[in-house]
Amino acid sequence: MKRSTKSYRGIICISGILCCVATAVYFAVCYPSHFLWQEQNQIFLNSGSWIATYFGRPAWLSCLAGDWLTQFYIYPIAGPVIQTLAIALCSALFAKGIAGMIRQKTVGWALTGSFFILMLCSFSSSATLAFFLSVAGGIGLGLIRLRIGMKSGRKVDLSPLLVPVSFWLFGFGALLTAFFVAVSELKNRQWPFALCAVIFAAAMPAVFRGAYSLPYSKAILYPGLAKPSMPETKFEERLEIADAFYMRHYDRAMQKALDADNPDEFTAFYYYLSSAVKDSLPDHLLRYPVKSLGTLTTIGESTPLPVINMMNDLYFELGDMTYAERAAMMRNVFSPRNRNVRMMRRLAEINLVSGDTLAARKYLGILDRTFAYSGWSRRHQPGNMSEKAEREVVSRMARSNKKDNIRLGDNCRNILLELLESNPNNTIALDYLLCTDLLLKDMDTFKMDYDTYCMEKGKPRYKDLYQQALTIYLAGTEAPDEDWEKYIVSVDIMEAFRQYGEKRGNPAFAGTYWYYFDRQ
Amino acid sequence: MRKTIYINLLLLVAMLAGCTPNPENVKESSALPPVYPDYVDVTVPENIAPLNFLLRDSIEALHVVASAGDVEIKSHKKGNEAVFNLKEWRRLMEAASGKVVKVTVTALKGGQWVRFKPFGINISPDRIDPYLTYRLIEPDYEVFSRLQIMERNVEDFSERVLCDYNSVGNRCMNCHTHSPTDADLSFLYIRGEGGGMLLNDHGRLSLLNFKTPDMVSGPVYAQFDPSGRYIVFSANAIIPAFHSRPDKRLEVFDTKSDIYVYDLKRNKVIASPLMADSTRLETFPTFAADGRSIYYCVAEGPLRPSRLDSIQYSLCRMDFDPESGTFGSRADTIVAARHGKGGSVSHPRVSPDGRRLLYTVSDFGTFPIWHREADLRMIDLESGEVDTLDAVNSDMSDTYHSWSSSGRWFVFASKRDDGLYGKPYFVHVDADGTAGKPFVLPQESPSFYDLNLKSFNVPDLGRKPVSITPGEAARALGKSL
Repeated sequence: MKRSTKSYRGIICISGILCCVATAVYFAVCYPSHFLWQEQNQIFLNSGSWIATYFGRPAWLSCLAGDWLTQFYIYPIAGPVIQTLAIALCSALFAKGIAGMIRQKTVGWALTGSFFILMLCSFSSSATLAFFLSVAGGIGLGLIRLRIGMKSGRKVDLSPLLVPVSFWLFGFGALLTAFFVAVSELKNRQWPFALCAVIFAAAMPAVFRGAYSLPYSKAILYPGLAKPSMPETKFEERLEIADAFYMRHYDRAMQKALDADNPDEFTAFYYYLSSAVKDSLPDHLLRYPVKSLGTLTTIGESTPLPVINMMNDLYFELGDMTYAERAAMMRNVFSPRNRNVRMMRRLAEINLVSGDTLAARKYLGILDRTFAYSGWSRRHQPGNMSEKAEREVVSRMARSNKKDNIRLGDNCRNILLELLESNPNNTIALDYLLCTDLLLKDMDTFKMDYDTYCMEKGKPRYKDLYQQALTIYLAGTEAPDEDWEKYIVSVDIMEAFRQYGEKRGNPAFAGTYWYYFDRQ
Repeated sequence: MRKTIYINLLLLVAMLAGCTPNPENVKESSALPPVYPDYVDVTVPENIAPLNFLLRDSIEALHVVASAGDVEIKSHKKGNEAVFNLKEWRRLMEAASGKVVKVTVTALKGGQWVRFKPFGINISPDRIDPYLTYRLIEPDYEVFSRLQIMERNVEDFSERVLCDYNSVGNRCMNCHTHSPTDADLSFLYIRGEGGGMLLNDHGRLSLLNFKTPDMVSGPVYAQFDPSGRYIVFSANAIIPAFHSRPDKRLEVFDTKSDIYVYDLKRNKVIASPLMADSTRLETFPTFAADGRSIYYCVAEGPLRPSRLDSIQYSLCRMDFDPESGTFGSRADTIVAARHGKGGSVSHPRVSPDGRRLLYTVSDFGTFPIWHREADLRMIDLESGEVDTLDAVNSDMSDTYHSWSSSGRWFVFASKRDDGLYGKPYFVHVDADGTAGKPFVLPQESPSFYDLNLKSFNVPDLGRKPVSITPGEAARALGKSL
């Protein structure tokens, strides 16, 4: 009998280890960007006063430990390993907890089931590590039997008191603690203690909701539940593209956008922005199935968070630091605890480019207290910047707005015009302006913008896309020969235009602006 | 086994305690220590919390002695922070009232102890109102989340939530305002549908909604009269905008604004055609100390968004009869608007004795908190003499000021540290009306402001704690917490 139990445990143990390895590998291969998203969506500061802020909230231990561990998700392997271990810990504790309630043979199934459910929970992008630690902590405390001996020799059961402790340390984990304490008490026919545990679990959030300034519904489930969901593959794909762009891997971002299963406005946005940074937006505008530059997107309080990130990236690359800062602030405001480490870095960069060293130092000072970004912070200190950082700041400074104007809305056209007024050499802004005109098929505006910012500045931009568009305008307005000579310098373009005229709408010309203008 | 654990723990504690080195072979320096916050030669009330500070340098250990007469207190710690014990600090303040506390800083840097030139802190026997309320908000006032109205006891470090986003459904809230005379009378305004003015009348909370159809909005800038019977307020149609130059950031302006008075006794809104003139922009009203006149700001309309920098506000005064609730027949201009630097007035606040009026000057508009040039001014209402408060102002925004009930202190929000995040600064005003050097609200952790990412918006002083809790605020709004 003993041998069979032992071998059964051995099988469970080996299966568990294999299951954990498989899960960690799956996370590492198929879900890395979700972990980076978690890390970027928060900040943890190595500062006593920052850590002390956790003590004013319920579930301080799971939140503190969760945030502390999440900061290591910047390393690709850390997130999958930590998440898998958290799931395994929760499942093991759960299995141990219910081992006395069910037949031994079914414990393995309970373990597998709980592991599987928790894994589904971890697929949600809103699932935080604090959730899993609250589960583990709550069950863990529930498994403790707290008894003290009296002088008479009788033992007094203090186990129900673990429930308030659990609420303090693990928030909603107190519900799990109460469950296991109550079951344990009922098994010992101590129903008053079981009742106490349940009452404590229900009453603690009500008693402390004022102190924590939380409504009962939030207090009882703090720090929040993670709902089981299927893998968010689409979101993962988007995050991968956005992350590649953020890390300045523009070719990778473009390739990932091209490889996307279902290209959409998000993937298109980063495809175009990456190509614009590589000074080749006009060359790629018609190569992507979805046409969305983001120049017509506006942001507000109901904008999804990834879209706010997008607009932050767009304005930062264009050189409009006011709106880049606005998007970064907005993204911070809607992050957990109103802080987001990616935006903190971005705010530092924005203020360095703006020349606002006081504000930049503020954000750099905060980043200096992080584990992963203190080196970056030191390399970006005004007056002590690394050569690479300085080069980038100087190049962005040249693109940024120098003139003041008061804007009532985020009309991107006005912003692009202002940027070009400040610096006509800002080719990213120029390409976005001209390409937006072309996507709208607004040929008059395109011609006007091309004249203003290319011809009149003595810097015609000879890109095939623009040449093709100009042929449409010139032909449409029956322009004189001298205009054709002035604008169209490519003999190949002239010849291709002639050929297109003979086979108008022919798919052989797909990929040209002529075809786009006529057929798309 | 247990014994071993205890011994090890004791050893660990002893090791940790013994880790802070003592000053030896000290080198004297003629320089003042680079303390943050800047408490060098400031004047503080005797009932202020400990002025904990840090040194902006890589410091290994800090030995600080603060002394006055026979009383001497110390902070001796590893790192760059000086943190004083609250009880010891109070003992020092008691002994130092009306005197100067001498602070001697000795720092260990690169293995060498350096004693900086001592600096003084003037301890005024004029006590400050101990309760400071403010709104915590990110400096992106266009979008907000998780707003909180807080109350801090400036005598220690305790802080509590008066009203927060959970109690008002994450809606926008205007800052909390105390009555100038009655410590148990105050209000805050909750915007949006179902919102209104949350009036705290001696612990009784009520939600008032006195927006009439002809008003452009609910109350935006509001103040009590000294009797507590009237609330003067402006209704403003506010438009947020952005500067394209990143250093200027946000701009907010009114397309319409009028001033009204709400009579709490008769539950009635009253107005003067001179202060609710559709051709002009009237805003920032406040009662005089005797309640017999209203100070406010006015600009000539109409507003042209393309010429926002030409909107300058004058400071005006109009008589008001509190017995009959009637207005005077003319408005007097106290400070005339002018084009150019500092030509626009905002946020007038009369001192409790009625002698002085504090206001903000900026180049244009209604949002000086985002104008770096915004400075405070103090006018003597008897002589008309204007004090430019050079010792008070900085090269960043200084505004959102309010007086303490004694008139010996005022608090204002300043962005002097980083240009982005407003912090509450206090200023002593002596009997002659001379303002001292401002000091920031002390925090238990000296690095608090370095890590903080919220502005302290519209700080307001009160003599007693406000009897509002988030739960009560929620109930007054018909919600539960």
